[in-house]
Amino acid sequence: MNQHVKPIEDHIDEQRRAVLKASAAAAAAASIGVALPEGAAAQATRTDGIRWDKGVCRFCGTGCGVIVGTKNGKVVATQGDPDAPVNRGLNCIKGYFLSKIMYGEDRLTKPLLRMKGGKFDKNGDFTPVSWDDAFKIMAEKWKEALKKSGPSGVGMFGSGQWTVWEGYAAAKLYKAGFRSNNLDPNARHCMASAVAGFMRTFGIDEPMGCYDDLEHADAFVLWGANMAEMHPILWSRLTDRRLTHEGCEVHVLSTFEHRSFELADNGMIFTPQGDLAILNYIQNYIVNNGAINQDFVSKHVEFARTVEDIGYGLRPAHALEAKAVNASHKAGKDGALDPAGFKDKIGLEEFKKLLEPYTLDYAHKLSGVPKDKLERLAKLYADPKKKIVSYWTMGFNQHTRGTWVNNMIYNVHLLTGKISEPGNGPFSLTGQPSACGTAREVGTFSHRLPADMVVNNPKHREITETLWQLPPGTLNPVPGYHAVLQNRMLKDGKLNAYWVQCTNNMQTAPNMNEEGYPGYRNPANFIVVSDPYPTVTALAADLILPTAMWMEKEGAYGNAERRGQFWRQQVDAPGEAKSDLWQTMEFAKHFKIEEVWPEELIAKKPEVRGKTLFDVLYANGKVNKFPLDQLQKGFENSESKAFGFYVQKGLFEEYAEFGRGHAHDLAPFDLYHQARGLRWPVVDGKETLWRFREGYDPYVKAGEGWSFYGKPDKKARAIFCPYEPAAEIPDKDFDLWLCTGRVLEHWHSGSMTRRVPELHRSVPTAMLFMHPDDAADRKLNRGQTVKIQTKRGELITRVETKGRNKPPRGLVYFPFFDENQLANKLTLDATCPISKETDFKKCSCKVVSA
Amino acid sequence: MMISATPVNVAGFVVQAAPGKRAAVREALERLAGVDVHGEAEGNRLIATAIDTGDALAIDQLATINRLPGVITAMLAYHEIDHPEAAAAPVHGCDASSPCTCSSERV
Repeated sequence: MNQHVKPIEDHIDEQRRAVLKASAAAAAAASIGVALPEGAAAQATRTDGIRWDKGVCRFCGTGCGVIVGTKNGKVVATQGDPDAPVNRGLNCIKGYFLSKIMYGEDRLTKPLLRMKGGKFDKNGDFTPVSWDDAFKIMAEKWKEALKKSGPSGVGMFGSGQWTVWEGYAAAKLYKAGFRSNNLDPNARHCMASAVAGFMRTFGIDEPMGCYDDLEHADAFVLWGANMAEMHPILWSRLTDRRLTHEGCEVHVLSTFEHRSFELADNGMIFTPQGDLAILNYIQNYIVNNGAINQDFVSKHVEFARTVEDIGYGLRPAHALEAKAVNASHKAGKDGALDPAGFKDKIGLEEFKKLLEPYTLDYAHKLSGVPKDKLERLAKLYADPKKKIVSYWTMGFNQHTRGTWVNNMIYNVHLLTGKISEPGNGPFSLTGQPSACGTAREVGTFSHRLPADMVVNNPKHREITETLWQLPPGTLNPVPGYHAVLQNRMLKDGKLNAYWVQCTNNMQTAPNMNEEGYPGYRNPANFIVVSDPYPTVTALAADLILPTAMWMEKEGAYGNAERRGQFWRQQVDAPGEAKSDLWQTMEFAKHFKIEEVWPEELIAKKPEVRGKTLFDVLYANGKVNKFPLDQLQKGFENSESKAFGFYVQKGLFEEYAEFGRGHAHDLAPFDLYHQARGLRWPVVDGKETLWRFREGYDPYVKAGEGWSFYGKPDKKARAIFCPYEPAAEIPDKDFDLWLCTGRVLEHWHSGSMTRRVPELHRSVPTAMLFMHPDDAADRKLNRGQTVKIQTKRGELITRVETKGRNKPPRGLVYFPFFDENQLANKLTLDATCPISKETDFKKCSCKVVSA
Repeated sequence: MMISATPVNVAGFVVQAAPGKRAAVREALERLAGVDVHGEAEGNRLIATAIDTGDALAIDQLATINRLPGVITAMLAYHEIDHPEAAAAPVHGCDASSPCTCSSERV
């Protein structure tokens, strides 16, 4: 018997166990359309007062519907929502944690300020303070920073786990209130490359297809994605299709073997960066084997060539940036080109010529994948009879050429016309519940405004200023500091007042030894972290604000297939914890408009004089126009009660104005509380399953067939991108590739899942996955304590040679969930120079006995 | 890092077995402490539950099942933390005229 498991027979009898099991079995059976006789009996006997209501899972970007059971003011049960189209009554194993994530023993319930001698001290101890005192010191520091450096002195790091209105309220506070674009979300670390890829190819963000493709495709190709462990619900749908549809095949590519390979008909392990060569080989195969869909291409595609030699997004002084002709910091100087640019309309013949070097031999040489496997993959894409969906997540996005690989997979689908129809399409999966709905769509990136607009476009600023009722010229035209640049600017003392909400960025940002930690602890800076738990990030802050989470507030998330989903507040937050929404809006009351806007701006709208940022941004006649009697009947709404109006509805309806009539149409607020989510654009109450396609997308006119209307000429761009090497390649001193990532049991940095005690006991610590021969060469045994070293830092862990992840020789895999073994002490802060997303998947390391 | 109570967890889930492996998977499931198989469905699927016992926790068994030979996926449908000692709470009385979809009945 496991000595850690407390015997439970003493407080649960056999009869109750039978009832509990029957209830659980009935729900499982119902999810697949089977009725069990014992289920009915269980239904009849359960009279224990659990209240059930619809909700959305707190974890990944799949967006599974859950039915949430509350009792005595606590969430005590969850059930996969049988009416949710995404998951049809099932959840993955992470659903098991949902009832527990709010109840960790170390939940924060009071603001905590570093103090010594009764006042703030950067080196003091965390001491409970009131909310009023917390906001007073914050406001003082923000005003100091604004006075010293202007809008560039303040910043915020937000989240793809923010609700839609939390992100929108924060975007208003920073972009309009403080006139600072130094707002960026953690989605920068996970899907900025997908965003940049969409914008370059289609001129509009987010996938054209949806999860319904899973039941229509003849083949699936996973580019780096380990869907079996990271997107299990979608994997179960894919598995169903593979096992029931004759001829269906699954191709899996990765730099190491993982659980998804168990279903692979064609599994391929490639050398890091080899994906660039493979994608060009596939395109070369298509254009030279009569597989181009000529009719589609001639009507809907223009060809282009990307700017090359663009560096690696490192600090400008780094040797690699000095060497790169078109590095970001050189753009526009001495003939250097914008790394995000491309030469447009080069024609198909030039495009074909650029692909010529990428033969089967060359792709094999650069990727290490056997030729027969590469050829099988190319033939699959080229087969006009096969409907194909390509899936990817971090393998593509966390890549110094992340934007390029996104563009390249679109090229493959565009050349063959396999796009925007049931069963055919490229699909970027997401890792966070609202990376799409919040981080991308409401404009929380440092260069963006709501609905795909950008700060450096005068027309976009004008539209935004009009909808926000701001005087002309309020919005700052200069893109702010992106995620990695924020940490660099903190270290350099140029960003001095900084607020992190709903994310654990000290643990998850790259190169924490050289950039993240020195930035937070720089005496010139004041760092505020809002979180439910004392994360690594919170403990590096100066002020910690306790946050309400998940079902403790009314919320909305937008998943990877453009589906917006709402939930009602089910329970109250503990102690003095408050939602990020309340915190952002309440903080705005601490600034008079004269303290943040220059006199010449105020003169353009004198009626704002004397008002607070709260008055101007939120009590503006639009956000505060819905009264409390419209709140969801029978449910609490802490923020609305605090401010005296239906906050969520007001923010949502103002935000929705940006997209309605502009291909980002959202439905009326109340409809989302009735529906199991709706996929935008929602026009006349009807959601859109496949964008850009006549008959599905209301923005495509009759007779157009396809219309890539994000581009002025309605044509998508197939952009040639070459192979370029990785930023840091193994050498004689650091002789292994290091790839970091996730595990099934812990979600991202583990700040929630590590609070589930039995789970923490099952998977307590990270391990280094290594090929047994690599271990033997270093005289290391399975389970042995080892040291992983890179040029930036080292950590001690244990080696695993037989685990679920099986790296090839020359590569090791290390998860980042463990706060006691911080993977990002090791990683390099190299980014895609276009998307600014970090490459967490490849740097060099060595492993030695500890 | 620990929650204060020691609750009893029960989970209902659907196990997808590989073609030809349903019987072997069922046998393996039935050997696990606290795990019961309640039925089978077409497409090589099994309906099962796991409950905390003195010998094993439901979450550990779920993880074990996910790694069993012949198991393609094990999907959770239901999870409850049972506090038998807790008093019953009043059921939510939702205004029938509102668009609310909540229910005091199990779905």
